[in-house]
Amino acid sequence: MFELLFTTFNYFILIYFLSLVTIYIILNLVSFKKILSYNLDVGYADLEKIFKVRNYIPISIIVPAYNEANGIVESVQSLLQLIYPNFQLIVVNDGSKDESIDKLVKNFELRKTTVPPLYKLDSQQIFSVYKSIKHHNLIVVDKANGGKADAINAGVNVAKHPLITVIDADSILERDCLLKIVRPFLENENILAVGGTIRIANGCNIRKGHVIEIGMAKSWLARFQVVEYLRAFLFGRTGFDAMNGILIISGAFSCFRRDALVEIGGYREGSIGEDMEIIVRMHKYFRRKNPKAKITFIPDPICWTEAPENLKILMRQRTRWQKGTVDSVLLHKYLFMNFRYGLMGTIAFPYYVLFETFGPVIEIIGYIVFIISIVMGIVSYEFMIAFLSVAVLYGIVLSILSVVLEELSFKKYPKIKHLFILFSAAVLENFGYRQLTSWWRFKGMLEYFFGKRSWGQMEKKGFSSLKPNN
Amino acid sequence: MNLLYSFILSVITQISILSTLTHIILFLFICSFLFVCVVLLIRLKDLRFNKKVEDFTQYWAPVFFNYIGSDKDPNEFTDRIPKKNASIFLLFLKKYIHSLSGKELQSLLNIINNTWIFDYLLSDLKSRSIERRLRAIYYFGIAKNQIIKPILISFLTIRNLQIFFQSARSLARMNALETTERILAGARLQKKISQEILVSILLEFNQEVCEYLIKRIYVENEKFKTAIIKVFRNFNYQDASPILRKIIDQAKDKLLIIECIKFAGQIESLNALDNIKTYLQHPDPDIRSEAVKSVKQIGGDTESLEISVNLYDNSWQVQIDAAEALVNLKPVGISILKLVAVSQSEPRAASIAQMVLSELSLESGQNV
Repeated sequence: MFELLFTTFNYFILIYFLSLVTIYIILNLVSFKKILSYNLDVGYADLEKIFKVRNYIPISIIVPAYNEANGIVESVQSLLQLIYPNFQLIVVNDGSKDESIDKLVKNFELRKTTVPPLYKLDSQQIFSVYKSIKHHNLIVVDKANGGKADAINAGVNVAKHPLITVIDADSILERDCLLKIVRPFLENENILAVGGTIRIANGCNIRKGHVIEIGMAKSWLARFQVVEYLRAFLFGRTGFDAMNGILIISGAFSCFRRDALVEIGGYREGSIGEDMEIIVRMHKYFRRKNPKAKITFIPDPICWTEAPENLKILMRQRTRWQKGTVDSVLLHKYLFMNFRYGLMGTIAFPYYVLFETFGPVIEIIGYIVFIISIVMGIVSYEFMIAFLSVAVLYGIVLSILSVVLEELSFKKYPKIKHLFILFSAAVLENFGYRQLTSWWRFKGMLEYFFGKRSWGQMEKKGFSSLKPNN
Repeated sequence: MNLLYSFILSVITQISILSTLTHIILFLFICSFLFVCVVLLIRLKDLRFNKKVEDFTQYWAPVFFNYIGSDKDPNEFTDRIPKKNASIFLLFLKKYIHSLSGKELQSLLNIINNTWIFDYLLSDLKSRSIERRLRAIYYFGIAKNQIIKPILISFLTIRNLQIFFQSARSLARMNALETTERILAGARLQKKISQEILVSILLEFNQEVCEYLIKRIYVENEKFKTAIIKVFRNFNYQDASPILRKIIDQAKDKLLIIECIKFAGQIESLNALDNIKTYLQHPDPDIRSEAVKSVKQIGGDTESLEISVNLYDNSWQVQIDAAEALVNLKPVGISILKLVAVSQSEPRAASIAQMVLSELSLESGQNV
């Protein structure tokens, strides 16, 4: 009886693995085509000329900040230098316990002003709204602590412009990022939100909030994450974008139509994975109203972020991400295999449920069952070694493919040495790192169902502490 | 017996799967190795190309700057450049296209139009590679090469959006006004073309394009009409004022109505004022918002009272726009705002009036 059960489970794992492989192959092919065509598209586009004279959409940039006193002034200064004809920068101090607000008031000559909550999105109490005398497009909102989603809602409430860009206070943006992110809105009236590619800034030379020189992270932990990000953004999101099935846009850099954001009631308070939840909710709400409504993604690397270089912090991040995924999937389970939502409902959402949400559970149980099967003689050693080799090699091929695509498109890493590091990371991450992240994600699921559901603390060293590595 | 049978079957299956897996392992190994080689080859090729560009620039830049702005025959300069370096030479020229002007730019364009570079780009134009075709279209457009016009016109019917877009832009850069109609016709064939892309093409023309577009406006659909009005607005084309009223009256599309209202406000079209005032109470808040701004621009402080009604609108955006319009209509507008700011009956309108007045105080440095 046990034998039959274990054998069946082993075959299930095999089928599961084959399905995953098939999906990845399709995503890879689609992404290759899409990114190469995108590059051709922007090659001779003269982006700034497209926004000639008055042919642009004004943008409100919202920066939620909690205890960011160390880098907030530098971040704001760099954000004020973005290339765009008309934008407003709204920094939301989410009840920081440090001197963030004092630093902002002092450095940008802020004066209190009156701004009522325009769109009445739910948020904690706003203490004061400040406007800068030095920079007329800078607004600072000082409010009681309520978390990231709450801070963004407060920012939306005072935002004037029709497009809302949400970024993390510690994100570093490319100076022309707004020109790039707004392009899909100009080209297609049905676009609701656009996300961009996030890259790892560890190892880069950063001065005054700008990436001066791209380098490679020193620690292997950060290097593994570089490969992970390449895989996730260049393949995963680009591939799903082709079927209008993007279910997550990174909270580090995203752009929304304000009216769409307000219509669905803004970010959901208390949400663990607010960046995924809002996108899924947008699909659910708007695609019934307008089947042409689209949430898209541009593969251009436009935003740089700091990756954790410490196992404890990385664990917290991954468990939180997993809780966010589970939370969003469960909240919108109605979309699962729902044909009314096209490929999003029939492929993208089921993919997230089967492979992203339950993937770590199946993987961890798979390891256990595999070991028991060997002990019981149900599976031979040869079979086990062969199967694991295929799984590992397949992971390596995927990671290397993402480096190939990066090399064919954006070529952000300038030195051959960087490529060798990426290849090495693509191989080494399969021996320990991937299993560890699966374990953390599994732990995240357990915590979601049986333990704490809260966000947890996320410590970052700050860009000033990151050393360039060339 | 059954148990034995299923056990044997399971062993056979495992062996066959094992052999398949061994093949897959070999295949994946080879793939990984090949991909690594591909990346390295691409990078080496790239580095070699960059080195070539660097060497080329180092060697040819002084010669180029000696030629640029002079009356010399460009062939004297280009004939010395080996043809195998054409791609590098084009990249080199691209760097200076947007930074040079006047006689210097003309001498650069002469290189594209009157040397072997022309033949090189011409062969690109006929190439099957989309990338090479796009490059040729781009350079010919920049160089305003009239000879190439018929080929570019023929590209307007191609379904590929990138080719269409670049060809149309290049024709517009040449100010080939006679092709306006064909560009619009070509745009209609493109499923994915957005209004903004169409506008960006039309804005490459000189202002004279408005005379062509005004003749077309009645026959175009509402999406294209909106694009045309946007072009009028960008060129500040006052001659369109008389037709504006008719266009607004016939318009059903929200974006077209908004664009017309914006345009009327910008050119301060007095004959459209009464018409636009009716939109102050339109059911759509975006339309009311634009109407408020335009009425302020056209009517000035004489319309303060009309605009002040929108301070009590049910849309925040309209209320803000009304308050911002009033703040610019000094002194009547500011007096109205001060009254509303202290009123108790309408807290929303009062808070917006306070917000706008406090912004004004901050900007002017005086207590308003």
